[in-house]
Amino acid sequence: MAFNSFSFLLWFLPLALAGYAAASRGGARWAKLWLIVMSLLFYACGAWRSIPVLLLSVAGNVVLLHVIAAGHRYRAWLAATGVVANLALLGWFKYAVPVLGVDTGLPLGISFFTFVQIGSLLSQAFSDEPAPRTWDQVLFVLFFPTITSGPILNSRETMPQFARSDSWRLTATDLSVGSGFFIIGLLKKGLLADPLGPLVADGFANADSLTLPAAWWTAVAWSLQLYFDFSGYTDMAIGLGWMFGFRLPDNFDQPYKARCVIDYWQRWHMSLTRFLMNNVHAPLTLTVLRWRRRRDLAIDDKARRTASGFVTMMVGPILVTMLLIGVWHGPRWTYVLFGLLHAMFLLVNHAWRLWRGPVLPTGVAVALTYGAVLVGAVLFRASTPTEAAAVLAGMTGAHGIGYSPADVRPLLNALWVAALFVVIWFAPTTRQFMLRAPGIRLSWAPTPRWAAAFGCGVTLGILAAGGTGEFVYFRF
Amino acid sequence: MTTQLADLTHLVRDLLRNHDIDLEETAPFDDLPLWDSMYLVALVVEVEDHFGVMFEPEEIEGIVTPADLLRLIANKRVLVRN
Repeated sequence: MAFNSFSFLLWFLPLALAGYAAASRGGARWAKLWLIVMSLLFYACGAWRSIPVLLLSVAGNVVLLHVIAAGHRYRAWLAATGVVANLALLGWFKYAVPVLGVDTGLPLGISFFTFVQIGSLLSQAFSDEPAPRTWDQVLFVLFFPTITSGPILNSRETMPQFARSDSWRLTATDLSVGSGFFIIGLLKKGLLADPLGPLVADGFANADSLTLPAAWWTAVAWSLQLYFDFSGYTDMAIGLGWMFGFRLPDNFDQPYKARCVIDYWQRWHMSLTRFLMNNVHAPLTLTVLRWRRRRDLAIDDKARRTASGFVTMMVGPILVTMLLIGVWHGPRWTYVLFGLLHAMFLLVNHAWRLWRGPVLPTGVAVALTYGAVLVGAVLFRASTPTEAAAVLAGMTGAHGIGYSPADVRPLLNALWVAALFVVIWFAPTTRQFMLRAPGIRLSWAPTPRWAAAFGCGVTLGILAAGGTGEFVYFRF
Repeated sequence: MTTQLADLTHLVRDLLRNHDIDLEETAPFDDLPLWDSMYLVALVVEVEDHFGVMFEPEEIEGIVTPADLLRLIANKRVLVRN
């Protein structure tokens, strides 16, 4: 059940809120239980066949958390076993189809709930705290705003909110702020992202014949669709969390304004980047640097500028991390290439910094970064490397540089893309807008004027969504 | 400036090969020119060597300012003494 579907908007969400209000009168225990039941119902509406896998995964990890908490001397080994078991489950469902030809069907949100639980195991392994209470952990993993597509929750940051014993109730402030986030997300999805979908699909379907302007149009439109779709989804998830009194982490911070690829990855799918930085990149780098230290090898900037230093300290950890980002998305060569390409971009970016390359003017830096991201986005969208190569070849003019009647897009489309760039460049983020960040001119306030504006927004959002457009990240 | 903060400042200066750096306890490492997560991990390894402590990978995530790092070092030294 998608957040923009009629069934979610017209019965699930009102029922979840009303039931939560009623249950919270009985105390935190009943409120938690209600959210767990509704989260299971939400999941079952979209993928009831996957419920056994989900419950097995949650139960197994809860048991492991308790075993880790009790097993002082073997914590790290127990956590490592748990991580391997989780990855094996994820790998089975993500890769069984192409490698073994077994059609197991991909459980909805498995990439997300697996990573959330791996994070919990690792956090427990290095903590002296007791294991989380079972129902808190269950709700933490199943919480319906995040279970299908994130943001990937960090247990140390978010778990205390699920473990609290008071304030499990709806408040007017939480409901109004949460609704604001949700409506903005709905509008991003329905009004900004979805109209680009058919045009992007059409472009990729005719990849072999895209002339230069049509290929660029297709790639740019796809990059905009992906951003507004996923950030719209994230705003809705954050808004839903807020309505129930939970503060969820952000996933986007104006990524297309990034000045370099390192900056881009600090702004794009931030919860995934942070998860992999903390759990893969940092431990790998730490291992490599300690290894160099034991051999009396330097680890400073000068050492990084040598070939062996650059390869061991930079190439290895970045390559593994970015490859994992690619592979995490699924069993496609284009995802692997996407990961490798971004690893290469990051390494060039780090080399530029290490060898003190000149600081580029902002406009040039942003344009170069967006260009690099665009190439990666084409790989990410294409079903095969051949299809991606065809679109990229089109972008270089290999299929002609002029317009042809078949690929001339109406002026309206060009204006639409220009308008979206204006939004990207000048509009504040949803968080800045809703929480009235300092220095932001246009921001929400609890006034009748904004209530009326959001009333119009929700009507438009519902009409535009039409209860159909699937979120891009639902397939992961 | 405390002795430990002075030591930390020296380690960061050597790491970045920039001797104009002055650390403030509550100023995020991210404010340092060219600083990124790579340098943070390298600093952790330097600190391990210098102060004779060991960090878990999970602890690196919580290090935002020199104060966070100094607090971790102090906690670890207490544990070692006990």
